Amino acid sequence: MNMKSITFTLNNEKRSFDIEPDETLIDLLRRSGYTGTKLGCDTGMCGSCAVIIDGRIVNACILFAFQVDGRTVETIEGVGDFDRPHPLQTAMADAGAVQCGFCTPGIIMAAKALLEQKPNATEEDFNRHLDGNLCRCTGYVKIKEALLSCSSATGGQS
Amino acid sequence: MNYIDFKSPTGLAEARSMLKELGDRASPVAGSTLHVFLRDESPKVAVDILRLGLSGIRLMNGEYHIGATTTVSDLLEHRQPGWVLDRVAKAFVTQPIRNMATIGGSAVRVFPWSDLPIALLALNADLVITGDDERVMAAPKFFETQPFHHLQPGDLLTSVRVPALGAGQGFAYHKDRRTSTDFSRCTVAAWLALEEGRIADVRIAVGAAVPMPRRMEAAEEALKGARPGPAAFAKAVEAGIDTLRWKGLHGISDEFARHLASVLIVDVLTQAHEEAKGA
Amino acid sequence: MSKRKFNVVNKPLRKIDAMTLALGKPSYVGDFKPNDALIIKMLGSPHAHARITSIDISEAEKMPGVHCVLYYGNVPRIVHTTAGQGYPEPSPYDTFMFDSKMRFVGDRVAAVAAETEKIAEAALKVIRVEYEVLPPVLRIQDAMKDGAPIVHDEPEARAVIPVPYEPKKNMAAQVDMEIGELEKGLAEADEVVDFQYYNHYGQHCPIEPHVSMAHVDRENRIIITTSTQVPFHCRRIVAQTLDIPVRQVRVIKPRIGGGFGVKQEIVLEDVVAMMALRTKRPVYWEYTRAEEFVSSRTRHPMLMRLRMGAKKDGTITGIGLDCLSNTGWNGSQGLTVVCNSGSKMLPLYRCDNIHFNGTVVYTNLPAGGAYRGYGATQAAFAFESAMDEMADKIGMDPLEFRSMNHIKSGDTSPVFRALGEGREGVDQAITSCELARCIKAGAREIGWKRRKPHTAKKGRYRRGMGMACLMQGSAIPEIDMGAATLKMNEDGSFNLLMGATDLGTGSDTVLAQIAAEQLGTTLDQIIVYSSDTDMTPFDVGAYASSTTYLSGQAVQNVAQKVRKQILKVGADMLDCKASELTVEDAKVIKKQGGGEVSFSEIALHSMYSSNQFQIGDISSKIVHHSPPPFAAHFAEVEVDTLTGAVRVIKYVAAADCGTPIHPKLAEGQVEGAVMNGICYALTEEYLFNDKGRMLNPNFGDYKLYTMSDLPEMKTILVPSYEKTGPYGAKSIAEIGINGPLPAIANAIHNACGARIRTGPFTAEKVWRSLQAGGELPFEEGH
Repeated sequence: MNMKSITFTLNNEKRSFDIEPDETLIDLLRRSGYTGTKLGCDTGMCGSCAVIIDGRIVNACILFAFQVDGRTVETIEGVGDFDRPHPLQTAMADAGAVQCGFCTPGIIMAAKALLEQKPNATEEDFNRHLDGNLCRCTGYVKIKEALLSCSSATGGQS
Repeated sequence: MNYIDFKSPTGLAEARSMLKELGDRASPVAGSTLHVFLRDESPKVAVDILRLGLSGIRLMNGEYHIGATTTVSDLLEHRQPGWVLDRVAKAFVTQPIRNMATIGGSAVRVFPWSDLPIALLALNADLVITGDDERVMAAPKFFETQPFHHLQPGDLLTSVRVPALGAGQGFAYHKDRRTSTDFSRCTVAAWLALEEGRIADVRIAVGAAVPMPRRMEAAEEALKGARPGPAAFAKAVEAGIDTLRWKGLHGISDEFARHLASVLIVDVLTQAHEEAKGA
Repeated sequence: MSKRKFNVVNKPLRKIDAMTLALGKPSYVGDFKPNDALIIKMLGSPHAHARITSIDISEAEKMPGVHCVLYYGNVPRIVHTTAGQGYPEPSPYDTFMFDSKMRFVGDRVAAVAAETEKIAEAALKVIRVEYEVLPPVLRIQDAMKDGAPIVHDEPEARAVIPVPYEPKKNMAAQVDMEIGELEKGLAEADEVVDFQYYNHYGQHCPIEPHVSMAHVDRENRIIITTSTQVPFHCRRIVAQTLDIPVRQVRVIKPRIGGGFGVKQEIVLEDVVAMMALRTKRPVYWEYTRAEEFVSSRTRHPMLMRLRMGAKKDGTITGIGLDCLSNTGWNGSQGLTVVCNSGSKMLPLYRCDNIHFNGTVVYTNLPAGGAYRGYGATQAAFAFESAMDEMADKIGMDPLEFRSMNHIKSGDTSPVFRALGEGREGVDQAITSCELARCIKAGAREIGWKRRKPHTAKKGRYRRGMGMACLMQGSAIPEIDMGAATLKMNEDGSFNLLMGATDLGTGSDTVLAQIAAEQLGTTLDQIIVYSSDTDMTPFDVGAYASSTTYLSGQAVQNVAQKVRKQILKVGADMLDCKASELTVEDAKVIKKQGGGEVSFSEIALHSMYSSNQFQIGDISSKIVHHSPPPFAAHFAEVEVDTLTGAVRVIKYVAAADCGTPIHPKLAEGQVEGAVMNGICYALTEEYLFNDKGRMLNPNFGDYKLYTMSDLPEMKTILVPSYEKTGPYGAKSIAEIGINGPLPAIANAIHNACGARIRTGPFTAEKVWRSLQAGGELPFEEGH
């Protein structure tokens, strides 16, 4: 296959990868060890593959890897860790919003993109910005509670 | 898609010459949200057209010029007098798809459930194709057939021009769906202009419940010059409803698709009228 | 009512794996895929019913990068069931790893393992297959007609427990029971309702589809890492299917990305294991979303007839429930699901004359399987719709009608003994039931007093309220077994090793809470490992609402034993009798007079100082009861009477699960189940063409709700204390999904007079029903 090199900023680090022309971004990420981004439907309909590109949430399962050449990509691995979890991660964990957890990274990425754009996001904002993230476990109640607690509108911090 | 190579041009001329040279083997890629619906497995060279500077919304002479690679999120977030496409963008699939999908992609490739063409028909948009020269096509002509057939190798849809909504005019759009992120089962849009309490001009467009998005001209004719109101709207629907062939999608019957359209057209006409009145 | 004060139990602590998952750490099967794993792809049958007359795999085998092609001609033909159930299974043996007969669109033709997914897909395209196309059975009503095509005509098909099984008639199972005399009961009634209901196909839609990988280790053992709810059943069935000893197979379950029953099934593991054996390479197979819809498992659609007789005063004189269940191309869980349709709903209201028939038929459509609710979902729709229809007839408020008839603490029901899981059941009296309080609390929250008859409503948009009462069970008595091992470490922490299978519900946390409570320590001191057939003791797995109640008791027992050992060491160290001591705050303390040693000191002492031994034990548990959780659900909807569109405004679920061991996780179970039930009632639907092919196997057309569709949801936990359960707990995970179908159907009727008896409640059905004056000719289902 016709491998070509692309370079982009991945979690604040400039990285180069050899890719195949028809490789999707999620395949590139997962084979490169970024397995926090999940594949749930392969058609851009479930949001478990959501990553942030240039500040906006997108579905890595339908985006081609070549399209991120020169751009800025953020995955769940860049968001937090045990010693410095992101407030969204703490809120999700504490609200009981993580059941099976498969959709959780995508939800956190979507909410992070929103809060960076609008720190005082309202319930309506969350509803709209997370309408691309399916969760089958929680019924969304505790997720919404967790996300809202991170909005400055409710005194939260993100 | 079976991409055997990709190219990332940074200017329109460069992109066009690449597309021209590649001919049938070229596949322009913007938001990349539609390829999951295409079954083309022939080897192609992807040409990324997101770096050509074709994004952005500008108001010129009462008309919005919308770059073809402007995303649906951009349409949703834009605020300016007479701007109405946010109403359409709001009902467009999901946030990540709104962030990726472009107005150009939505216009060039029409699926039964496509959203934007219905609004573009009702708003009488113009679509600008840049080839060796620039061609402007009115929406009814553009959507008469699958629009990508209008494009020769090297041609790109570069911009969409949508008239700003003026005083005495109203526009309403409704996409009937089971959940907020569903494909449409019936999409209707209405634009109307009032003069001295009568309908001076009106456009009604429908999609999803018909094989290709269409204007309902017989209903429009019935309304021109009429006093707007529930009776006139119902009469117009009666005049127009059977001029189109109704086709139920996603498990609904043709009969119900027709019924749904007849209810929703009255709804959007009513809303457009309210707006035109300045209510 | 909680009778005790707890330290760890009944507290909303952080779920023990929540942060790991929120950080996106490698946790699921796919996250551990080795980069050199061969990728498996399956060629699916294009026909619903066909026989392969010739198949040529040679070109595929020769393709560079292809390592193995499996089909019926090169694997053992061993009949088995794919149902992950106890042995001998109540599901018929009617499945082979590969067969020359195709029984649904998507059935296994041949599998390829190749270096890349692309190569595997290319190889599938060059497998040449010719079929003799057979007429298919595509409707539940046609399956047992004379002359119907026979789905399972192979001689091997058989039932392994003594139950009716007649594959030549497409009958996969049957159960029939009568208590009293139904006809007599109906004759005594002032009013009789007799309606048909149909619940539709639905899929669990775990966001992680089925995924498995396997490799052969240096001792020639097959190590399978898989997304399963039943690791031990998986090991047994894989060994059976490959004709190898159980000892040659190890099954590891990492985190699971949702199951809801669909992973109580051996769907991928047999092929993955066989490919690993043949290629000696790590192999990996994950379903696409389309395969998940078509080739994994679904909710059994059922055509139900419900007859009920009642007197004007509200006394129920007779209940008859006939369920014709479509198990699809294989009989997985067919018998037990339909048994549950009877056993989980019929005891809910007192009645002396009950008849139940469950008949399970094969068709050439996707296979039914275990799905949260497990037959009770189906029956609850018919039963609780009929309760409203009867209340209307006798002129009672449906809430009053239910309240005067429902089972209460101290009551028993002959149904408990008459109907078990594929055999007779077990007598039990209800020892905890707060259903009355659930009804009261739910009614208050929804504002039931505002409810008016539909005839009093006007305008295009009309609102209405509906309710449903529910019960389920907690584990399968006298059948299911769970076990746990607990051992102490130097720092006073404990390893809790369990076969119990957390499929995302939080059972690892709940069980660790039970251990910590019993041991007198904190949750962070319990290191949970579940489940791995080499490392953890046996457990039937995560199904039948069993984990908290059954595995919880195993954990409580083993913790009790370990606590005794700790006290004994403490007594040695403090030079007193064990009876003078207690545990508290990870210490052994003298009840009187002072003196204490920490758990860490005890562990160090027992390991290194004197009379050395490993503090630790194992315990297993079977249960003799299956105490039902109870719930009352209330829905308020708005109907657009012009388009028929239904919108849920508010949904209230009040549930009695005994002591909620972890209140937030218990609420989460209710909320998740209710949301699943709401989309199943309104939008989820399998569309088939006339050849049996599913037309919408993707999330674009098969609609789940997103956060933006969420109605106002209110969960009310009404605690009781179930004395047979661990710290008073009963189950909670399944019951919530059973309410939305009937509660919403009843609310739609209350809003606009349309009575919808077939799911899902689409706008078109409501519109058609309104056109027909509220009644809709019963639509035949699949």
